[in-house]
Amino acid sequence: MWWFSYGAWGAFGLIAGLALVTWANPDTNAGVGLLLVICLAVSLIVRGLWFWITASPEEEGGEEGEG
Amino acid sequence: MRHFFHALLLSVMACAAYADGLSLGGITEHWGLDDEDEDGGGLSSTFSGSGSGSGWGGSSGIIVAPTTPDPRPVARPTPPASTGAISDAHSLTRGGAIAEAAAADGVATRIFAGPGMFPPEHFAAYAIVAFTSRPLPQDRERFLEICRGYVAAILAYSEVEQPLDQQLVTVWPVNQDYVGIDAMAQPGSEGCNKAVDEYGLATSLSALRDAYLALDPDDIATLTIKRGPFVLAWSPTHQKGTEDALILRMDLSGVETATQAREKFEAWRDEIEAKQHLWIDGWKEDTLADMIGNWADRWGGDILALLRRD
Repeated sequence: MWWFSYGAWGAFGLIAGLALVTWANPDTNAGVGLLLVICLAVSLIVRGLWFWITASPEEEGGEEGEG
Repeated sequence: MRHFFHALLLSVMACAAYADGLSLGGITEHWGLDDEDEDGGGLSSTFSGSGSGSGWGGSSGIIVAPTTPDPRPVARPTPPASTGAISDAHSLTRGGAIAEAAAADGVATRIFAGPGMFPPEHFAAYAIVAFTSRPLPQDRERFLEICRGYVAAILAYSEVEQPLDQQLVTVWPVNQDYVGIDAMAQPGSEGCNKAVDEYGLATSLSALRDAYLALDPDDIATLTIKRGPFVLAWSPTHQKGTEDALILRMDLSGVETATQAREKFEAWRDEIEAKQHLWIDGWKEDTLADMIGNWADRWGGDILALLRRD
């Protein structure tokens, strides 16, 4: 389903990043950017690891076959 | 997994570009310093008579004297250190209730002061902005930012109506008296350039050494490990340099920008004016949000620059 895609998880990460930026309120643009990057990276890593761990051998094989 | 790495790479590049774009866009002014504060004029050299190197041994306590013998906040000639400009009767022999009531009339002020201006005995009490070193070229800008926040948040001693003995002054030490006078004479934060370049490290280190005497090991570790600066004041002031003295203190190690510094000094100003008891129990701790924000400000530029370079 589409909300399991990397794009959707990335969007979730960015939303979480904006919330974090609002809460932590860094004063510099670099600080804002860093928090967004971290949230985005974490969301994508979690998505990748989670689906890599839980993927069935057939699905994993299919993905490799596509590549 | 290939899609994952592609998406990760694209997203990181997008974020880096976004952060870079912010610095070019209109949001930049939001992060700037509202430099509205202006100094009230020059500093009389009459402080220079007070004993240099005699420590902070003024007779005044951190409590504010309740009387207003001096209608104008003008620096007066300094009597010999042994007599003390503010008598014990003002601050030490009166009851605590009177002192607390008087504290409500006190006001936090600031001054750039050279070694000859110490101790600033005309003031009810004083604190010091203590860095652990002079600035290097690579961190001079941070010193300046902190100084700008200091100037923006706290009124100059000459800008307030209260006489000097009702002022709790926060001192930015400089290494020569004339530097302090020049810095105070310049409007706004323009004096910060001189105050940073001629920072009074000897006074600062002396204050830090005195703080070591009174603090417990954990707090000493904080002073030792963290980069500072620290804002230190003794309660009462005459206990400076003694063991078991209560030290009002604030750690500015996490401060990177003038805006952060201004917030800190605003908090310091408000606390010493209204909630002195809160400062006696320990450090004013950063909240988790403060720590995260400060961390991001400190490392954001370097990390994003690294990402852009790759």
